[in-house]
Amino acid sequence: MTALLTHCVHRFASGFSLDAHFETGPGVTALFGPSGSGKTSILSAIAGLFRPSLADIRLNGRQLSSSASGTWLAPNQRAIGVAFQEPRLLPHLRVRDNLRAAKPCDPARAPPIEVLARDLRIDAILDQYPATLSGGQRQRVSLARALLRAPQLLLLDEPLAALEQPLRAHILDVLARTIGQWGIPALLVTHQLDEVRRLASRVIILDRGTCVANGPVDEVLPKAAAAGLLAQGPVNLLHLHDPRQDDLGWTARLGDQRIRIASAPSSEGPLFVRCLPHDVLLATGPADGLSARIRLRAAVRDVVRQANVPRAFVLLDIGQPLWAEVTLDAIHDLALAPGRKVTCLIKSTALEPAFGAR
Amino acid sequence: MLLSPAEWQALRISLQVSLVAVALGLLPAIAIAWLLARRAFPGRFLVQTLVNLPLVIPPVVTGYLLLIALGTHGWLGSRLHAWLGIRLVFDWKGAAIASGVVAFPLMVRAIQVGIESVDPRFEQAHRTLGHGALSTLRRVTLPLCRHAVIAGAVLAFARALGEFGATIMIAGNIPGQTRTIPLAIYTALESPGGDQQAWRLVGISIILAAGALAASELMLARARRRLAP
Repeated sequence: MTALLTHCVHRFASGFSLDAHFETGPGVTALFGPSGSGKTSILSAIAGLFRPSLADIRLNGRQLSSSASGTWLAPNQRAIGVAFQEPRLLPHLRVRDNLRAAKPCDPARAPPIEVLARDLRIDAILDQYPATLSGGQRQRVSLARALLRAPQLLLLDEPLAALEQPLRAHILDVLARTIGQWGIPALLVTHQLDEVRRLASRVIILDRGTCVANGPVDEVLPKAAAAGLLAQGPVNLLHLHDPRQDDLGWTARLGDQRIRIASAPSSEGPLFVRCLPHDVLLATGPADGLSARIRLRAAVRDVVRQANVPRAFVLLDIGQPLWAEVTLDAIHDLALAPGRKVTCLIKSTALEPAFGAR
Repeated sequence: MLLSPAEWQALRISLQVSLVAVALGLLPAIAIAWLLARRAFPGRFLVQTLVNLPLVIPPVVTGYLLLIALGTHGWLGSRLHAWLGIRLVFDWKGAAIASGVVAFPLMVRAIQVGIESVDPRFEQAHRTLGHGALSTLRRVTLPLCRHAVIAGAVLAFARALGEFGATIMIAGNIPGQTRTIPLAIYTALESPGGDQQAWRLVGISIILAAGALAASELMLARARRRLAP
């Protein structure tokens, strides 16, 4: 079921062109993309804060913007809650009054201020002015304000970037519970794996103003990881299936082989393990007598230099992308070039639980 | 400092005229300042020019134009008189309007600069909380630039206190009715032996203007302390 349809086209004075088109259903959709890929512009257009030259935006069938019919609803008429990247708390109002400023779209659904403040652990700062708060406190107040709107759509632009664990995990739980209860769509801009893991069911990747991938987390997230869109830079995320327990612990299936995983899978979402590009070896011939347990057949798609480090980008026969760090000598000796068949070797000990594992 | 009854009257009329001039002009000044600061519209340059015109044309010319418009035979004055029984010529209300028109650009400019200094992202955030443009102006923009609104009002008040040319054109110089402090100083200097009276009125003018400025500085300092990061 499509809850949010977005189509925005705009050419900025800087020369940057936005031409993004996507549809999402209820639940959280993570929006990935390098800086300047248009994420914030899209959120602004949906919120009604920026008017693209061409727009067709519909929320639960209601037209918010349409260039064809000249429709453009003001931000206050859109029933959208926004938590901005910079919290934008009104500096002349105490925290309590900042929260009171949020007019609920659906008063029956809006949580009482005191309850939400306790949930988000800002109840002790309700009488303070924003200038006296830490970055993390401000972000939580901003998030509370967006939730107090009881909106039909939540736009979350890196809402927890300033929060440290374990508070961050707690706030993610509150957010996941609230969005789940309300059954509304939400767009989440983030670079953090744990936020995607806990909240998102779908992932959209934006590149240079265009939506290049849109699908379930387990399909699209490895692409986002390989593209270096997570906070830790380019990493490999391997999607595992069918976890089982034996006498030695847990195993899961990767392609046609079973591999051992360090921790028990959680029931939430798909199961991923992470490995860094420098933990991946490439072999062009038979690789016998090696201790590396994981062997995956692949074809080289590209050989590039990222931050002056040569890397081969390969596509595994099981359909997943993978980065391998290689030397210039290895590129030459193994004749690594697009189309070359290789075997990827990974030590089981190099795998770390990414998410879906406790 | 002991003042004569006539001097007390001049003081009272000056305060009344200036306060009414500021009160009448404040809301339109905020509206126009907001429009100029936050909206792009055709004819913006023309509005900006018209608003600033009283700053650069001689006050006597402003007064003359007002007299034409608001006189008992003027297009607006005749209607006001016929429908509401209001007469502006040779009346303190006319003096208030003349002072208000002359002081208006100062108020608009100060408030416009103040609104431009407010980070529009706060206004956007407030709009996404479910508030219309007017509510956002009232609850976010104006509180965040209240120092500029106060400064604009004080500047306009001080300018209205000193208004002479436009006032004398439309309201004349009637003792106890339209004779403000500047008109009283002028009259005193025209009269033999009026120097002492003129000096007393000059003193009052300086005290009033300095007092207004000091009060606004005090309020500004409090506002800055409140908003300090």
